[in-house]
Amino acid sequence: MKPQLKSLAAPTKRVLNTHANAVLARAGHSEWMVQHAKRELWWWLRARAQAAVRRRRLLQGRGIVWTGAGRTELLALEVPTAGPGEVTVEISHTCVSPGTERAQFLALPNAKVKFPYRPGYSSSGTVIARGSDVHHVGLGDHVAVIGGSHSSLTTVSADRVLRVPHGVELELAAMITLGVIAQQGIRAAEVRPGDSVCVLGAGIVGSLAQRLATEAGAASVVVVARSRRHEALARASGATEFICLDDGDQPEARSARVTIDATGDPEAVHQAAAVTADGGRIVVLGSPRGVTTAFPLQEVRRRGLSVVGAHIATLRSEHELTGENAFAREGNGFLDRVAQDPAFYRRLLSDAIDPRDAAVFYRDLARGRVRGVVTVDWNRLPQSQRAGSARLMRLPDIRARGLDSERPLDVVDTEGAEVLAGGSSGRRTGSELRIALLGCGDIGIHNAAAVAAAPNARLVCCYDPITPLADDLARRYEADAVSDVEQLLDRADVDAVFLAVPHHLHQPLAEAAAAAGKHLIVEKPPANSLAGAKAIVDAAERAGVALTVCFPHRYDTHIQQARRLIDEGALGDFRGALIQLFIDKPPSYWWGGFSGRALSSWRSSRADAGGGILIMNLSHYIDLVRFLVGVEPATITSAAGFEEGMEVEESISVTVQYQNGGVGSFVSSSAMPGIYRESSFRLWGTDGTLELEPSARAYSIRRVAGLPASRWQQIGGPGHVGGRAAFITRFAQAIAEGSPPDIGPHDALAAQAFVEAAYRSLEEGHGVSPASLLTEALTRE
Amino acid sequence: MTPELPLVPQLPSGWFAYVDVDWLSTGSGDERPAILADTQGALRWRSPDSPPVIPSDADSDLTAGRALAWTADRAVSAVAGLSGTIDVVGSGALAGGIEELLRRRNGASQRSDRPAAIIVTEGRHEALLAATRTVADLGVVVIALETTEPVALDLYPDVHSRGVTLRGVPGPLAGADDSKHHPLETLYAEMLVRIPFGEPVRDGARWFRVSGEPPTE
Repeated sequence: MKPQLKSLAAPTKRVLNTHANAVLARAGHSEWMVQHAKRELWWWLRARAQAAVRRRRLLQGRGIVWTGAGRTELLALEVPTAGPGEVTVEISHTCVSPGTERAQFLALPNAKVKFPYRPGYSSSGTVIARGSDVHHVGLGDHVAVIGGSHSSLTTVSADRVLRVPHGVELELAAMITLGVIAQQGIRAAEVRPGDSVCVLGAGIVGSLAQRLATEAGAASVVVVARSRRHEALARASGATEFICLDDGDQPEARSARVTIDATGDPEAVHQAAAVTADGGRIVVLGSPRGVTTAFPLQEVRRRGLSVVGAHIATLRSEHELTGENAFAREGNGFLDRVAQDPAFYRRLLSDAIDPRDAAVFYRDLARGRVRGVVTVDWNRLPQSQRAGSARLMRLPDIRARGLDSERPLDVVDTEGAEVLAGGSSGRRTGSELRIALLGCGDIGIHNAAAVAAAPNARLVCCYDPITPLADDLARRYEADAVSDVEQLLDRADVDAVFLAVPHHLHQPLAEAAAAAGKHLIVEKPPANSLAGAKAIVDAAERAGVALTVCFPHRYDTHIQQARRLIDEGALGDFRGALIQLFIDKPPSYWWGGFSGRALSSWRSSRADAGGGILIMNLSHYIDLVRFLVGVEPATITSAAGFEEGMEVEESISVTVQYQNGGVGSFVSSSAMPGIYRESSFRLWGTDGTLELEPSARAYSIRRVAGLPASRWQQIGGPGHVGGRAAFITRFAQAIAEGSPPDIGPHDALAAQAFVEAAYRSLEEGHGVSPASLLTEALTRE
Repeated sequence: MTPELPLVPQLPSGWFAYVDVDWLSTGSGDERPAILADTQGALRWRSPDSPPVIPSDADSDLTAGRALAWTADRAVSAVAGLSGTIDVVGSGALAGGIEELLRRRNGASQRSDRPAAIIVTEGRHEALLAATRTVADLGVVVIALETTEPVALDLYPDVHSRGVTLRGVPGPLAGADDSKHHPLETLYAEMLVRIPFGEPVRDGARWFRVSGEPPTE
């Protein structure tokens, strides 16, 4: 480029870059995701430019892309069809190079890549296009491709495409590059008939090298590995000795004329030097991931050892030096060996994965959980995704890349909502649950409305010591207002009693209702103490009536959807819950609730309410975490703040250690100035995260329940199902069917034990086990 | 430089230390590489306490030169069959002998930015690292240097990915032939600079002999 043009290029690039950043930011991309979006836009532009310049069609397939550190996605990729000297292949299988790809994924030394990055370099498939000057393969031929990332389509230089011999499966042919690596390593080792060879490492490259050394006529091949995992395979392929370092064994010193280091461990050269005979060769076949801190220079010199680098890239140098296609030479040699003994090479393969499960696979690979050689089976993708014509004018989908939780994809799956819709939209039938409402204050209004909305329940009568409140609800829902509790309980047309009264009244009224043979619906919390809750459970059991606690948020659409996702594995193993709830409750709240409908100071009384915002509001979340992830707390530790003159806490922080090792943090205040109501509810696990408040969205590396892997997606469906009405509907349904209610005595006690443990921790200054409290309560007569 | 400085191992009276100037770039005093000759002319490597490798010979100047000449021979043999330029990195007698043997074998050497092989006799680690980075892809770096300190080496870029071979060549007194006649021995005899005890090493010396402490009266 001429100097003048060069001087213009930099500022122009800067201006374009700034402009692109601004446009993408306006489109909602967070700062760090702008870079990724630009890279994909660049791919999009380059693919079109290449197609235009070469006058080629543009094809679209799918490819595995690491969109960021530790993030894997399956994205649409576009490639031009083959031009002169090129071949386009529809890929059948790509082979994962476990050492290299793990090192790249973990960004180990000498393996750092820039994101987004397309991993992979070994594949096989069928020729679908070729340049006019390409004759060694034809359309429809099965070929192995040295190179090409993990994608369903590739257009590559023809000299890297080799015809697969008859009888060799494409899955085996996909190991081509690994085979070439091993072959060039053996060539660098100069193994001669009768040689003594030692192979350090029994991974895929080590196994292949060992096999090839045996075939080259080595008299002895000693395999040295950390574990005995691959011993059987090593012996089957001709190892004369297998040394397991973890067992404390060591190979005989200076016994090998040739040592092949296939470990990738930069310090393995010491072991290699120790085992190699004077004047022998050490072949560095595995790529060392780091610096050898004290290279044995004097030992190499004194003993006349040779340390030989054997990377596949050296074949390119050889090609340049000699003019021979060294890749083809080694590749064809490998394919011929596979054709002679496919059973051996099949033993090397451990698994084939669906490309859509790539995120889980790479996570497992990073954690060292992948054994053997894994191929990606592109045949499992729908054909429409594997290979098709790209639409030139369609813009790339650069929305909502893995990390970009600010821009989740729209809801595409509403099945979760249907679980509820089936219940709450049921037609009214003759078997209605007839419910009496005890307590017509703030929450009573919502409960009366929920009963009225339930298709299989009916509000029969209401009671409140403040008669106008009962009259009000009775009038609204065509029910009777009764003047005392006894009268309500005596009525034969009442099947169940809904208690929406101050917490300290739950126990006596529930006991009375149960004794009268009425089923019990208790507003949360079950009681003002664990003893009270236990008494209610006992009363229901004695009377043989059903008991449920009103935790209606379980039935909210997004919670149902979340539960379904969790059940299908979106979270993996539960690791944590974060709940934050902040409200600025006005002073009047403590005398009449939010509405001032019924004046009473019970909410500020420790004895009556049982506590402050924890028992009053956080108890919903306590139940939701249990409902969603099904784990119980092991220890609860809490700290709280109290306003002067108040008996109940104003602010509280509760730290939970769950029994499965997960953690929980519940932080809340009822006096955060300027906040009407703000909440955050988040659950995370080994495989995903669910954010349920303030918005509902999910991210999982697993492909579950219609949730695309590694993408944030909104959940919950467009319509909101009233949780309280659904709660009543489900309870009425359970009574009609004679089945236990969704939320039963155990749930009541578990939530109450959590609350009790948190308050006990405040008093005692240490962690408290709710399970112990529960056991104590259950065994106390 | 003077022999009072810890150039070579402490020598008994009547002993000599034969030192290639490239060996001075590593270690110090007792750790520094040297061919030692006792009063009978027997040669040993590095420490007066080590067993003699070449037994008594009246002319230790000659046998020490032979040992160095055979080391140069081994270094040149390590690049036998290679085509292309071969560089030598070092300024000592060993480097000079290697250059002479290469000249006799290949004629006048051609300079290249990317030599096919580099023979390193200089003990500084930087010299070795520079050689691994300068040598051509698939090239050979011959380790003919003496060093006493460990070296950190990133094998991936410097050896593995470019197909470079690091080839060790045993040093003086390590070969069975080291006491036999070698055509270079005359060269080394001419090159040897004899430095009496207490006198400074002459600038420009490539191969010198330091005398041990004179007998006390």
